[in-house]
Amino acid sequence: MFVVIRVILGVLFVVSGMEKVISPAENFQYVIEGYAIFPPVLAHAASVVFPWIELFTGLFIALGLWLQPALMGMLLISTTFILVVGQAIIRRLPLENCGCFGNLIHLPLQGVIVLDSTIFALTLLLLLNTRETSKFGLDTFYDRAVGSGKTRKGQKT
Amino acid sequence: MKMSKRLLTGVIMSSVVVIVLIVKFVLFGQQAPVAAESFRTKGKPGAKIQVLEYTDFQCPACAKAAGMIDEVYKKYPDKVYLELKYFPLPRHNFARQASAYVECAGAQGQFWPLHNVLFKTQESWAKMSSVDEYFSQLAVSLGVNGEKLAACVKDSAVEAVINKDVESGKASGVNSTPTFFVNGKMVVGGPSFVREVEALIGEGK
Repeated sequence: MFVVIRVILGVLFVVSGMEKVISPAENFQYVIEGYAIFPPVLAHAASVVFPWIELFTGLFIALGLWLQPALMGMLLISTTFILVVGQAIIRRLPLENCGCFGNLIHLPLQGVIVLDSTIFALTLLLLLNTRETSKFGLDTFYDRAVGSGKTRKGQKT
Repeated sequence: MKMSKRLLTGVIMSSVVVIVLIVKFVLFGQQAPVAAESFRTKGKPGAKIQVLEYTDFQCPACAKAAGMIDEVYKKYPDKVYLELKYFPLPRHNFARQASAYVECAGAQGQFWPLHNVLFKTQESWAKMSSVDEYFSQLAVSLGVNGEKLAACVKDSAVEAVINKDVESGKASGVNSTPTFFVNGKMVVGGPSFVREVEALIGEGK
């Protein structure tokens, strides 16, 4: 079950990040500016950098590569989403939709808070069960390889 | 021979970057759209700043941007040339109809007046259950012939004009409104448009 959750969360971030990196950054900059937190220069920088972070975090989680840091990254990202969307709801900013999935899915802010909180809770669950979560992942493959290498060395000496 | 974990990470990351760049180039690698002459334009055709705007009549941000554009024209009447293109978003149920009415009013010389009135009254008609009668009344009050208008909005050629605009916008990477191409550079949202225009005018001083 943990592996399935891991892959679903990873793919979700990959799809969301991919849509944003492929689309011109100005579209996501407009979304960020809508939350009225950053000045335009920072919003532009975030619109260029953040989608790549989202994409690679999702990819590493789906593949089970560098799983622990990637899960911690996802936890940080979902926390940021909750805070940013939360302040928009409190300030009653006139946002028609969150813009967090680019042009793929349009969700009202209240729906996004629920989704982000679910992602946060599931990521925390995965982090607390890293051993189960990393099954069939590339980390496990490499750990096994290192482990067997050490054993062979141990047998020789 | 097994690839090291760091090397594999590098290979995965570079492959993704290359794939994304190729997809980006294939999808949006064409030249940025430029303003052309039609009844959907305002300003001097040879102006220093050429703007193409993709708008949705039911989008609140577009209504705000329309006010900002008016301010820009008051401030710099001869420096900006703007062409408007339709980009009705699927989630706005009356945006396409609004585009059709404005296009048809344009055919009778009332493009900008109906454009302005629709944005000013957006909040009220966006809540209506049906808008045809309301749009028609607004257009007629501006001097548009009602019979010609009714025939025009049903014409498939008008639908084709709107679809063409939407397709050209999508091909340029437009996915939200208002999106502007200011001298070919994409900017999204009214405030970004004003900043870009101010910057270009500032450069010329």
